[in-house]
Amino acid sequence: MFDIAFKDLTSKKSRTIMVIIGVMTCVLLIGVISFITYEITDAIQVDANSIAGKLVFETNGTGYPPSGSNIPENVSNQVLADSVVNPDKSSAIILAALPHNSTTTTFLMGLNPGSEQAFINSTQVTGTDSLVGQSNNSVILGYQAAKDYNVTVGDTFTVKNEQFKVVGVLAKQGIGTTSLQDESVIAALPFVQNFAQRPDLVTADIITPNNGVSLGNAQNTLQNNYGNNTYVVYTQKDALQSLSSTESGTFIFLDMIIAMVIIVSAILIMVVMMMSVKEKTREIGTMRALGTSRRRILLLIFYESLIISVLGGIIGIILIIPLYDLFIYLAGGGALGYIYSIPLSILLEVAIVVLFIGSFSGLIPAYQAMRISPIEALRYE
Amino acid sequence: MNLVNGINLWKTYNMGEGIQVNALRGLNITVNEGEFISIMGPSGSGKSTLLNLIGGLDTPTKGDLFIDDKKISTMTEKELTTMRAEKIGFIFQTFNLLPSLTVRDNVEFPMRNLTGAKKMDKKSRIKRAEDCLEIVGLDHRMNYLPAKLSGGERQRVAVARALVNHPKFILADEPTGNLDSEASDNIINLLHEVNQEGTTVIMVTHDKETTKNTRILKIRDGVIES
Repeated sequence: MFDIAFKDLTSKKSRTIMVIIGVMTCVLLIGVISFITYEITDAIQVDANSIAGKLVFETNGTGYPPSGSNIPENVSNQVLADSVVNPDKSSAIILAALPHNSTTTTFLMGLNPGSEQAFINSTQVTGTDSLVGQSNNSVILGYQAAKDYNVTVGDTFTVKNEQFKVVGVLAKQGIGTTSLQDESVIAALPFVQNFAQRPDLVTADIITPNNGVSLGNAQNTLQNNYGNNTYVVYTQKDALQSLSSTESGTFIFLDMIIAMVIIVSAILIMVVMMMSVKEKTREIGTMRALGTSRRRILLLIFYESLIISVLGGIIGIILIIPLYDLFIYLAGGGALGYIYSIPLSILLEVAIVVLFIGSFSGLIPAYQAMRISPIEALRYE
Repeated sequence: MNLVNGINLWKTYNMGEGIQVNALRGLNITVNEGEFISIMGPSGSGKSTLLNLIGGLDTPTKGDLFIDDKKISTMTEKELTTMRAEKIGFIFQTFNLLPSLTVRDNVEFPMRNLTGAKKMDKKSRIKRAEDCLEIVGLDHRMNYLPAKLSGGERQRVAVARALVNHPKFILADEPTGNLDSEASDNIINLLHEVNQEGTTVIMVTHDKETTKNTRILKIRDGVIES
């Protein structure tokens, strides 16, 4: 019956094409939304990974990133001087918002020259990854920050009458939306304290435990010695939780859109298939008279619905990447380049949705067709 | 041998609100193998109801109907479907060809409904369809869609479709009702040829001209008069 279902669909080209376009649009929407979710999740993971094996000492209740945290510099220095802390791989940091014209936020990140690795980790860099021996206003830019200010190594740019000299540009982290590092402008701690007019204050300490000290031990020690309910020591796990809860509203909203799209798509196919069954009543009666079983009538309609869904699905999947790229381009994210490939998880998700829509929406019309009485159908005008 | 044997057949339809209509009122019918039967009668006399019962599309309310020695009132839906596929060829007044299929595919279609030992592979089905189309003189129209054919040609395709499964009998419901006289003669001649080859034909008709050389059964008010 598959070939007959296919011939039936091709004999009604306009309607079939319209429904396929409908399904394709739904698949595109689902795919793009899934892509957005995927990228946000990836960025969260990248942000959390940036403090893998480290601890963050910050004001209690500020979460991650610790932009709302304030710690007196003397407390920060005591923490960094503790015997469980590796001073070479730990640093006080200060975060300040740096305005620019784009929609994303740039962070001015101050840290002690020589301790840049506490934040940069092993990200690839163009230029230098150290502020040691550089002029006071030297900065290392994250990937997105460099794009936002349209600068590269050796350039200067001015914000709020302050001139910044670019000595390094970091590569992009992960494939997702921009991470904290991507959006950062890294400068010397005193320079940022002065720029942000927050002398003697830091935002947090990024801490790597000394050799031989476990992360848990270091966390407990620092919490007990300096916590006093005012400060908290975060691990990577805590950061991941904090970041995920920040985005949970976005995820719920996106999931709701996907659910709506699936429902609309299923109803679209169901209505079209019901119309098709109505139009085909006489043909179904003829088939039944000629000895076609109810099961095969059910299969005929079911196949039609499945063919429409799968064709719409395949075209939709092919177009997800260009559409997503266009979407990013229109949002000011850069030139069209089709740089991503579809992650298997999204491909599977869309494929399952397509099969679900195709089979579920075809089921009721197919059952309806199966129940048609051949005598009534043959009389149908 | 009796191919169709109907004894005291009643068919009652419930029209709702307690209204019942008796389409057949104790009708008796016997059709022997190899016969060409013409059933005539005015509208509402019960011709179509009788045809639906003989075609296994419906079952009698009362009475016994045997088709090829099998009592149809005790047959399941599945058995009736199999019987229609294997033993009966249908020809309709309005041709009822499947519009999205070519002439060849339309004629091949009933063979897809065969099951068990009678099941055929695609190649054999196509060969048989083409042979049947040759019999009705439409081998030059095999790849046409029904919409491209004249009424007479469509009905010849329907005859070919009715023949493909080597049915025990052909049920033709006013097969010339929508045709001009020339096409009508062609179809009747074709049915006679099929009948001479051994296939029983049961035809409902309003046109006396088409009943030559057939046994005529006149039906009125749900019973056979003669």
